Amino acid sequence: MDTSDEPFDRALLYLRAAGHDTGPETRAQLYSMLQARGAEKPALSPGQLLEHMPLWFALPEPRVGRHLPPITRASIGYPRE
Amino acid sequence: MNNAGSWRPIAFRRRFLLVLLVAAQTLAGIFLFAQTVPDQAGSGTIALLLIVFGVLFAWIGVGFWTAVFGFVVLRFGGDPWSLSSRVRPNGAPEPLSAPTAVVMPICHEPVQHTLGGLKAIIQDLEQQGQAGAVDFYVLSDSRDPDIWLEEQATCEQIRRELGPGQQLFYRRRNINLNYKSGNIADFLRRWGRRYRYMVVLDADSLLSAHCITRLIQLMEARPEAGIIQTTPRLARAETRFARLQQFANRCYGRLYSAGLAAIQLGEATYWGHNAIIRVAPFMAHCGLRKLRGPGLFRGPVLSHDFIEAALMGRAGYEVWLEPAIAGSFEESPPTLEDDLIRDRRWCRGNLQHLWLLVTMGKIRMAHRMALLTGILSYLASPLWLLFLGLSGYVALAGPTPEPALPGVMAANEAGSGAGSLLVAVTALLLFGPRLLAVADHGLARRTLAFGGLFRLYGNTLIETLAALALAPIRMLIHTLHVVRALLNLKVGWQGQNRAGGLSPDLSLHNFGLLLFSAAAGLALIHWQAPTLTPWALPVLAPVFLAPALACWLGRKPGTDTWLQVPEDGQITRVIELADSTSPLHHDPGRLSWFEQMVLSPVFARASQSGAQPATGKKARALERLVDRCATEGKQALTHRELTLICNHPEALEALHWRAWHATPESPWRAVLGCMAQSVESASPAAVSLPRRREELAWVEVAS
Repeated sequence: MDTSDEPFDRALLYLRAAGHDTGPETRAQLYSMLQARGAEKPALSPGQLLEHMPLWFALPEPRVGRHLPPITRASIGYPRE
Repeated sequence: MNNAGSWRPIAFRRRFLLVLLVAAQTLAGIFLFAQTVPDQAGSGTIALLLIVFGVLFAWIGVGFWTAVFGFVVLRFGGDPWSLSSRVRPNGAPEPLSAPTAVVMPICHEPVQHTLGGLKAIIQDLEQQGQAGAVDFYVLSDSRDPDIWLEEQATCEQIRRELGPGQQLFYRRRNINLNYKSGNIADFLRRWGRRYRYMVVLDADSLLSAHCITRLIQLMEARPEAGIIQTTPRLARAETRFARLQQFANRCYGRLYSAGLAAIQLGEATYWGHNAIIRVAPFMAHCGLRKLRGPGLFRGPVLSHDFIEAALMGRAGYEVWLEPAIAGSFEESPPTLEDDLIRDRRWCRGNLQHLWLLVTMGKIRMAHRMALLTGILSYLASPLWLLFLGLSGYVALAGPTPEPALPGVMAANEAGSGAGSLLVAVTALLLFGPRLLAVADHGLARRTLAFGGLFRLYGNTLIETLAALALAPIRMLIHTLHVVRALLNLKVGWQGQNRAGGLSPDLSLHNFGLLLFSAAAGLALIHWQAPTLTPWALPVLAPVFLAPALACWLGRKPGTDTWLQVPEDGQITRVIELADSTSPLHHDPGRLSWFEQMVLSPVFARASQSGAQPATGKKARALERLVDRCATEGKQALTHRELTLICNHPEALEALHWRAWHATPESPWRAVLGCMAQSVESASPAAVSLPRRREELAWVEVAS
């Protein structure tokens, strides 16, 4: 994968990192999004662009790990020496 | 249960017999030794020599007679007074109902290996339908984010693989007070009241479902029992050193543990893991205060287990050692160095018990003896060294020009006869347990499991020769440990190396001080008393070979059945499950776990619904950390600072975007490059499809 700093490449890497499909359909969608944003003034930097990715694409939902059980506070008995 | 409580008279009689045998043997030894000492030596020196000899002779006698007790007990079909004999399993075990926690305290351990073992324990219990009442806790004291993030991710993966029925929890302490005992105390303060029993594991422990079930069953049947300790067998040994230890443990350990259990009965000791604990009395009576003495005797108790057993005994509860319970395993340190490093920690911890022996009242005599035994197991080394030095000094005072060491040869005929007898008795005390163990295996028709009778003989000989070669090395190193401990020179208390593998350079580095000491000692002997040099060489020659020996022992043998033990042929299910656990895919050559967490888009989104963000000074400090990490990379921050970022979702999210905004000059730009290669090598699946485990590796860390 290209690691250049071009917005398209960085955005594609972000999608792959998120586990999102990066097939032709996604690439076309990404390209059109970038074209639309590129026409805006001022144009978005590659970094700013990435912050929009979760809005444009359905990225995988984060899994929530199992929480610890509710705490049942207790104390430890310390013997006298 | 029958005969409840009546084990005490039996224990008294057995201990009295042991004391009688050891005392008689020691007095006889001192009498013989005194015959061989040249009269020309000063009376003060001779008296000191005889005292040191007496202590050491009694020390090896205790080991010998314990093995004899074990041999007799095993030959009569086991101890009728043990808990296992008195509480027989009735057919198929009933489903466990007593709420039980299985806890595994860890600190910078090899994550995949350690948690793979825990997963095997859970799977084994599940397959037996006994996992319902048991919760599992991984209690981490790891401070390096790259380690604890891996622990966290691996626990999450195990949870997913095992399905919704299991209860595996991961807890990491931010403040690591009081080492392992502090970690367990922290667990008990939070969740102890939820459980009736707690099974404590070490990072390399493996307990079969049968073993856990049996421990709970025994606890239920014996309400007076506070702790039941199993005798773990060494397993999964790969290096030559580990296989030597495993063979010794498997071949002779049986006698010692049977003998020890028969002598201690309900006043046994706790070994810190592979044991079950009754939670309520443990919480009520077994808290460990910091020591308030001078030097070494100040600060947290390092070796907590013997003290906890003593406190449990003081509170009126019983502590049982049950060697008859099968399915309890642990691993040996892979190399001699690791074994000696572990000894360094244990030595310091055991010597601390000197203070507790003096200051703690109402401790039972059996537990006092156990503490004393633990102390003497390290003090014996300087005593041996002192004995050798005094022997050489006294020998020089002899009338003949060629000095003869007392106890080995003497100038006159009577002394020579006594010396020969003493040498024979000493050899019997030292090697007798090995002979008894081999005889026991022969009589029980177990030799086939060790590869046949002749192979068992041959392997015993190899192990004995190795033990003889390692004895002087251990003696000198343990002496250094004792000196360092008494001078209160600090040692680390990290997790031990369980992976093996050593280079010759490393061995030379580790043994540098030892080699220097031995060379200086030999030069001094040769300069002052050249006639003693031949006597010193057998002790010092293995020391000079220590680096090469350690290097050779740290490697894997050519065959998997070198020093064969029964487990090589009949693999227990829990070991099989642990061996077949596939590690979480991770390529450490590319992204560290911290870098994965920062770059993970999945986590960045998780953090948006996180906890309350930090405010005020804390928020500003976090901002500075994020800024430094973004501009200088993670190497610019300490483990504590990196952990702070990980613990604050808003800081992590800020760093996430800074890293993704990386310009060509930023260190994160190179990390992005590595990540690009990483995702390139694993083709991502469509989001809507179930993803394969190896593809989850780096994006799933933080979830």
